[in-house]
Amino acid sequence: MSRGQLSLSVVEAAVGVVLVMSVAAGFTVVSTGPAASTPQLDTLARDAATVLGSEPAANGRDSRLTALARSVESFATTRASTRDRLDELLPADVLFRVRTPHGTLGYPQPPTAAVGSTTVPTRHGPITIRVWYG
Amino acid sequence: MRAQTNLVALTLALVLVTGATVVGVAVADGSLAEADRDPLDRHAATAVADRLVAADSPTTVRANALNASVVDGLNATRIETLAPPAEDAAIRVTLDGETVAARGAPDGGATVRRSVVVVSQSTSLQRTINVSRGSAVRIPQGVTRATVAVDPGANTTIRTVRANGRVLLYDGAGLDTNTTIRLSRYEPTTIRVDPGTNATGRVAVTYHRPLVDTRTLTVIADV
Repeated sequence: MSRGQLSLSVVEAAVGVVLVMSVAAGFTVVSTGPAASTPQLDTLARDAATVLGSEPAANGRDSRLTALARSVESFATTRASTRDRLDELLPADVLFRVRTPHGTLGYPQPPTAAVGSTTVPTRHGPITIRVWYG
Repeated sequence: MRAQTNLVALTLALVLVTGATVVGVAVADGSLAEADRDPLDRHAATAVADRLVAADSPTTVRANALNASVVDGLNATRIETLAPPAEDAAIRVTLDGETVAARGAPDGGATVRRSVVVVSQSTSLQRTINVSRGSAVRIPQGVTRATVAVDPGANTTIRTVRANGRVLLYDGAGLDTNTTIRLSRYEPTTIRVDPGTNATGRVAVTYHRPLVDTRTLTVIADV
């Protein structure tokens, strides 16, 4: 005792605490998946892409998605109508941003929001649609 | 003296381990509570929504495009046939808040929203090509099929019907037919005939113009 040794029981207890805490930490680590709203947002992004991809654009040749990716001029002429179309398609509380090889359209994306996204390949390059609750 | 020191240490040790266990169980319980406790609800709602908008579903004309006349006749039993996970679930399917099919009162439960278009057919439109004047018929964008009825007049042989320049119907002995043709939805189609000189008769083109409404499909399921 004179040398101030730590009691063996306290050492055992410390080891026990570490053990129990490590198991508890396992729970928090394992359950840290994506936010619950992400699958729903992913689905909405895919729906929007499907509808835009199966809808004729004004030029009478392409789907809207292909028209966005085809060329700079084609993107410029399709941009405004696509924005209106997406506003109409997605539920009122969902905002969007579309990235194409020739530029982007839609709303500025907040840095912290949970985002759902989908990327559709076209003959002229990929188009990415991102949606979030705004 | 030494034995009593050990007793204090033991008590302290027990308090520490008990405290740690309590905290650990609290954390574990919190994690479980946060996790999805309604996997069946979510599964049922997702399955119904997926099956309703799938490209090969009887309720759609293509992916995410619902057929208005089928949707009008939708009820909970038909939905159950389409999506077995919804069996015995309280379920409500709405389009922009307007109920399409419902059974029971799903309070709580899982909600799935999908962006869809609802396609309905207009009354049939008929355009006629007057062969003697060599006129053409223009079918607007979005029409997928049309019926062409070729009715040549006396002493006239119509061999070819063309859509946007490509041959649609051809018969070297002369056409006298009533045929359904498939068209591209993406572009307007111009239908012409190649008559000889002094040809008479008419070619009637009948089609339905699709009317497209954009809606939000909401499925709420509570198993």
